[in-house]
This record gives sequence, structure tokens and C-alpha cells, in this order.
Amino acid sequence: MALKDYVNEMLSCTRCSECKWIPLAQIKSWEFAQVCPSVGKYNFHAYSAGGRLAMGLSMLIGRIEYSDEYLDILYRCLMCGACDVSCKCNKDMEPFTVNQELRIQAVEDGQLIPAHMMIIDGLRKEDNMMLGKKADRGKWAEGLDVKNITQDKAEVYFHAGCRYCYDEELWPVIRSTIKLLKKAGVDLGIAGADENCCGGRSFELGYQGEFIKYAENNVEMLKSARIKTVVTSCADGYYAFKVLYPKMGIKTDFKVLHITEYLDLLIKQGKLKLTRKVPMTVTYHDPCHLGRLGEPYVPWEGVRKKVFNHMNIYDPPKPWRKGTDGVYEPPRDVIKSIPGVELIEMERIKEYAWCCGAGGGVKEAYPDFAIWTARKRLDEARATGAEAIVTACPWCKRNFTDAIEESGDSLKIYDIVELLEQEI
Amino acid sequence: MALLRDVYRELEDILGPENISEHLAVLDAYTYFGSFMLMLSPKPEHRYQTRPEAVLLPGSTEEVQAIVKVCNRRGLVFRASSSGYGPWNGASSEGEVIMDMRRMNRILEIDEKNMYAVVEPYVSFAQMQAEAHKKGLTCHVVGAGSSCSVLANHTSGDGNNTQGISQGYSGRNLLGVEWVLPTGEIIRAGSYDAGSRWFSGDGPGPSLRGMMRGAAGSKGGVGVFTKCACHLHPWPGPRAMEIHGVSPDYEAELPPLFEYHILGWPSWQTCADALYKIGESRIAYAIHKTGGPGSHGASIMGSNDEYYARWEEFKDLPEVSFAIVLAANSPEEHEYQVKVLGRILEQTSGNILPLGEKPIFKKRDFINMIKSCFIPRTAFRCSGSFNIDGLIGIETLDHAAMAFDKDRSHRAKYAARNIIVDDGTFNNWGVPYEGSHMALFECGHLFGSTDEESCKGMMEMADEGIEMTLKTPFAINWMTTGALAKLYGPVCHNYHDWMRKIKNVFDPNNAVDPAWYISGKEE
Repeated sequence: MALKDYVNEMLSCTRCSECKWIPLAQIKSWEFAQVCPSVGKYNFHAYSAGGRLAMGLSMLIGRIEYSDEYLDILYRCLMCGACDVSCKCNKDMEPFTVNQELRIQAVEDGQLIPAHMMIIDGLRKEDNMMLGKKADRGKWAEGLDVKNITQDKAEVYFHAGCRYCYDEELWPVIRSTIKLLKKAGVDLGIAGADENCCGGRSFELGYQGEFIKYAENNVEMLKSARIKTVVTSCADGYYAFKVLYPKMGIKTDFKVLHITEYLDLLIKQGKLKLTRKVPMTVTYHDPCHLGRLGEPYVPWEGVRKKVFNHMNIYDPPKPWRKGTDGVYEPPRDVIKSIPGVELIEMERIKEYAWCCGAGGGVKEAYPDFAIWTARKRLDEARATGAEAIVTACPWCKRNFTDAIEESGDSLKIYDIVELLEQEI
Repeated sequence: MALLRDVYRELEDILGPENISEHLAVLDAYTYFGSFMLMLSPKPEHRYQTRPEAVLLPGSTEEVQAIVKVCNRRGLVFRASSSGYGPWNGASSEGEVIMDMRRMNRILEIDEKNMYAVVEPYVSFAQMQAEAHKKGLTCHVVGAGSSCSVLANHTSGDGNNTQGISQGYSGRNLLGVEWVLPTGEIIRAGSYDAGSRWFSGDGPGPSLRGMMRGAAGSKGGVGVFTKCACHLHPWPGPRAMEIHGVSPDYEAELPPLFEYHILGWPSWQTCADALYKIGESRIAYAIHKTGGPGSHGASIMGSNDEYYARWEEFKDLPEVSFAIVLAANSPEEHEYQVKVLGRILEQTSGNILPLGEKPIFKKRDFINMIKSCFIPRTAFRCSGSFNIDGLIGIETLDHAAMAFDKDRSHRAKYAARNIIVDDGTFNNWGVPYEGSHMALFECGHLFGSTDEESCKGMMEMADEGIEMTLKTPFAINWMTTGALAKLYGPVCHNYHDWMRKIKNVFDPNNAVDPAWYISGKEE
């Protein structure tokens, strides 16, 4: 569907502003009640989901035209989807999808912002979103005894993702991941230098064509390698493989698991035994793309129709994506299974977690906004009394790490896998 | 018409460049208000009101005062907006600026002993309630929902809610205020003005309650309120309500010493008799007419599809029914409340309906009644919007019973013409408040907000309802300021003349947008 097909969605907004708050029933304090970093930082209503619907509709009917300010408002959004969950608590609307369509439309209309153009140029030339060289993509795995699916047969494919491949500080996380999986006896392969971007981030920026290209390439590669299961440590990659590929009509015949789901499975099957004590109090940050955005895509084709004169329903009933079935428990179960670790929850968790600040192209285009958002989350983590914030996505870890470095905070930041490292 | 550059620079100097915008993309977000009240149209272009010249984000009372002075000096009209819910937050004239009060968002004080809190304009009811619950207290939450502003509703609206029976309505819960007048002077009313704390709205120190807000609220028409104190009430529940589940199906167990039921009666009059007794006996914590607008069943369902699939379960909810919450501080009080409720039901031929005993109602509607977190589900989700059909008032329960009775045929007429949603349930809304001495009734109906005929028909229905209301003793309501004041004034002691006098005295330069209050002059 194109933007113009979403006019009813835009007209459904009643300006209740619930998109700015965590679901009202869940508000537990003054301090941690907001859910939208964008309007939280920039304050004008236009920076909320409701505001963007009004702005987008205004554009669609010709009241306003593209401008630098319009694009700033459009792209100063983390695409974290928190607004969508809060809105859909009480409404049948698609604010997140409309926001995505506004970006796709802007790109189609040639309305681009320099920071994103540079990244997309890099993607086109070097197949990654990190401005790195294609040839360097597999360096993270040097010295690891692991198969390459372009040459060897393996049951499980581990997709590292652009951030892990090119962020050297984060390499220990995925190197440990490989060792853990091998210890558990997994028949594992990577693609090394032949790995491609999942395409998910380019889709979020509005570059639909690039996304389709990379999605098709990946599916073709995995088909050739007869891969049955894709495992990734990147929440963005998980969202792309698990949700965006089927949503955009790209057929896949492999199972997609986030590393936390897979580790949880291996622990529960007894294939990975955790014996080393890690005496630490931690809090867990739900990555948006693993949590609310990571719920499985359920194909649906149907029509809106009216019953009881004017009540809008869908035929067949529409499987609304409300963040209900995101990956929330597996990472928590993994953390709880580590001897000595105590998990304390923040106020904003699961489907209404506050974003880390790295998504939607914000870290690249508006780094101050990305750090501001991370700091807010770190404040919340600190308020729990935990010694460390644990997450399950390289983008979250990178942004939190940058925010901690800038502020000199003593809070520690770990990926879940780092809590398991002692086992290897 | 853009602001003159030197005017813009004056405002920018007050606020800083990041807190003022005249970009069209920003302005149009403050121009759109959906299809509600007087803006019923399926056409996208009709959903936008007058575009303001700029939006301003003041961060302090001093900045508000400075802005107001610039507006007076340079001939600008202004309007303040907090959560921005409803068309009264928009501009109505050329040369107008909107003050979005979002940056003033602090709870300044919670005085447990004297049971009040002092807030700035952008504190939401949900935030205030959560902080009050931590101290065994709660605040009055407007029926429009807990995303709304405490200050805006208390100072400038006429808000009732499910808990009105034990907490009164918004105007009654207002204590002291800090008020930037349309001329830029600052007034502190209530006990706060006497160098004391904020515990009273009516003195020592000037009250001005009648002039600053009256019964229905001035909807921002007499200046900007920058701080107010709201009354807090006892909360016998847990310090933090434990909510289970994942969106959208949140549930909570009833705390010990709480009861939730749906009550039914054979007629509106027997219902009114019972509600008087319930009010007099002071046993109820919360009570409201089921549904409204929109089916009560819809309020506990996560989508229209879900509601439609399970509609059979809810369709037999009687027309005359109210949901009630009892909340006690001791087992003895709980026993007393339950016994008294039973006796009142016996005396008024009422009963506890089986529907309300289902766990799904007890676990979900209970949250709705305490947290007011469900409103868009019933008012807007079903068909896109709702509108009051003209029959609305703030009066006694006898008036409410009469209005609901009258609305039966009014509603049937328009349902038969396919103008409004008709799911077989009767979804007007109402609450008794102030111990049942007063009642709010709103005959609101769902209409097709993207359907031309339905929008036109709804307007016709509202016009007809207003005519009916003017011929009855239904009196004023929260809608009877602004354009409707001239209609209702002559049948209600010419209150509109008094509003105009207030406007003329407080706003001699017509600096405040009068659209939802009243214009000045014409003495």
C-alpha cells in the first residue's frame, strides 16, 4: 500500500496524545511516563506520532510542501514503534506504518537528507550501513574455527549484521557467541566477507528498493546453502529477517531466531549448562526491534467494512501488530538462569520500553538526539539500583556505551552473551 | 500572514530559538484536531482549523508573562494549550499564536498532610495519580482520560469522571492558582495569595473561582494558568497497582476490600432513586453509566474486530445499568458497604448483573474505572468519532433520568436512518457526583467520521437535541461556552452576559482567543 492508501488512518487520529505516553494503565511515576523520545526532546507536537500524521496528511492534501523542517521532523524519529503500541491500546490505527510510508514517499520524491544519503551510498558500494569496506566484513571472525556457509554445509547460519561486523569494540560479543554455540554442539556457519546487510535499516530510512535488493540476495544465498535456521545477535537483523522479509512479500523457508531465543532453548534443553556464578544485579533493556517490533508477522489480506451502521471492522479480522507477541521472556529467562545474577526491572519494559536512541537513522543523522535518548534510559536503569544494564542488540550497546563514555557514568553495559562468557 | 520579523525576534529572545516555530509543518500539527464537536466532516481539508502564526513553548511563568505582554503590545491574539486534546486548543483567528505549555511539566509539591498537589500545566492525570497512589492518595481524573492535563481541566474545563461520586468534579478540586491575566499581570488566588500554602481555593486571599472558571470552565479564554493546586483524596488501594498482561489486554486483580459490579434497574427513575441513596450513604468509590459513548463491551476489548466477534456476550447489557467500585479501609467498612449496597438494590428493585461478575470485566473494567485509560476505545475507535447529540447537562439525577429517557426515541430515530452506530446497546454516559447531589449526563453517539451522510446527520441530530435541551430544565453543561453560550444564556439567567463582562474586565485588549469562551464588548 502507498501513502495515499492510509488517509483513513490519518483521519482516525483524534489527537488524544496517548502516543506520547506509555500505555496509560502502566504509568507508574511522573518521571518515566513518557514513551516517545522524539517529542520528549523536541517538544513540538509535530514530533509525535499524532503530529506526524497531521503533518503527513497536510502534505498529502497540498496544504504544505516539502521543506528542511518537514524532513527534520520526519527523520528525528527513532522508528522505535513505541507510539504504535500506546496508540493501539485504544485505537485501531497504524501510526508506525504511516510514518514508515511517509519516509518511503519522501525518498521516492527525492527528498533526501545528506547523512542518510552518505550511508546509502556506502551500502550500494560496499554492502553495509557502516561505511566500511566489503572486504573487511568477515574480519571479526578471524581465528575462529567456524564454517563458512558459502563453502561448507551447516544447519544454522549465524548472521552477524553490519554493526557487529564493523564495530571492532563489539567483536568480543559475537566471537563469544560463536564459541558458546559451538560448545552447545550447534552445527553453525557464517558467511564471513560474503555476508550482506539485512536491508532492514535502509528500509527504515525509506529506501525500499535497497531493502528489497538485499533481502532477495540474502534469501537466495541462504537457499543455496540450504539453511534451515538463521540466528542473529542483532535485533535489527532479527526484525528484518523475521518481520520485514515476509511483510514485503519475500518468501523465506528458514526459521529465524534471535540469539537470546536460541540460548534460552539450548539452556532449557540442557545443551548449555551454566555453572559459573556471576554475582551481579542487572536490569534488562528490551531492544525495540526484538521486543515490540519483533513480534512475528502474520500475513493478512482483507478489507475494511462497516457493521452496526458505522463501526469499522476488518474482514477477515485483522491481526493487529500491537507489540503483544514480541520476544520478551527468552532474554529474561537466560538472565535468570545465570547463577548469581539478580534481575531488577525498569519501569518501562517490554512493549512499552523506552528506546536506546540508536534506531531509525538517528544515530547517523542526529547523534546528539541519539545520546540524549540513551541518557534517559540510563537514568531509568540507574533508578533501579542495578549495577549494569544488559541488552541484546549491538546498536543498543553501542549507543549506551557512547552515552556512558560521554557522561562518565559508572553504570556498566553488557550484552547478555557477555554474562555467559565465563562458561567458555 | 507571518509574524513581523521584529515581533518574531522579540518572542525568540524570550524563549530561545529552539522554543518557537513558524514552520508550516509544525503549525499544521497544531491545526488538526480530528472530527469532533463542531468539526464533523469526512473531508481531510475540513479537519484543519485556522493555522496559527507561530507556536511557542514557554518554560516558566515569567516567559508566559513576557509573551502575553508582547501580544498585548503588538496586537497578537494568543491561546494556551496543554495536552491539546480537543478543538478548543486551536487558533480561531488570523494573527494568533499558540502557547504549548509542554515544557512546564513538573509536580512541584505533594502535601500529604493537607492532601493537595501543586502542578504545572503539562502534568497528566496519569502521572499525578501514580505519584499520589504512592502516598495512599489519588486525584480526580477527568472522564476524557488520564492523558489530559490536571491543570487545564481543573482551571479551565468541566471534568467529571467515574470517581466523581467520591471526589466531586474538576472545578471543585481546584485549590490555589497562579494565573497570568490576558494583560500580563499575575494573580495568585486562594490561600496561596495570602503568603500561605495552597490548601484552599477560596481564601484567605481572593477566590475568583467564579470569574476564572465558573461552572463550565473558561477553556483558556481568560488568560493562562501556570500553576494550580489540586485536591487529593484517600486511596485505599495498593501504593502501586499491579497490572498484568501485555498490551492491549491489561488486567488487575481487585485489591482486598474492593468490589466491582455492574448494577441494573428496571427504569431510569428507580436508577436515579438508587444513585441518590448510594451517594447519601457514601459507600461508592467510583460509579458510572456503562459504556458511553460506545458499548461497555468495547471498553474491555483490544480491537473492534475482537469486540464484534464477542458482541453477543455484551449485547444484553440492560439500558439502565451502572458499573460501581466499592473501596474500603477496613473489613468492617467493606462489610458495611456491601450490606448497604444490597439494601439499596432491594429498595429500588435493582440487581447485580451477571455480566459484571465475569473475570474479564472485573479485571479490565476495574482498571478503566480507576485509571480512566479506556476512553478512545469507546468514544473514537468504533466508528472514528462520537458527538454529543445535544442532550447534555449538569444537573440532578432526576434531570439525568429524564434526559436518558428522552434520548431513547431521539437515538432510535437517527439509528433507523443509519446515521449513528447501532449495536443494540444504549451507550449514553453519565456520572453522579458530589455525593449524588449533582449529575452529569451526556447523550453521546458514535457516527461515521469518514462518511458524509453520517457527519451531516450527526450535526442535524445535535441541532435537534439542542432545541430539545433548550425547552427543558437541563441547564448548562461543559459545551455551553463559546458559540453555544448565546443559545443557552437566555434560558440560564443570561450567564453569557456575565461571561462577557468578565471578558471585558480581564481582557480589555482582546488578547486571548475568545472562540471557546466569549467575545468581549457588546455591553
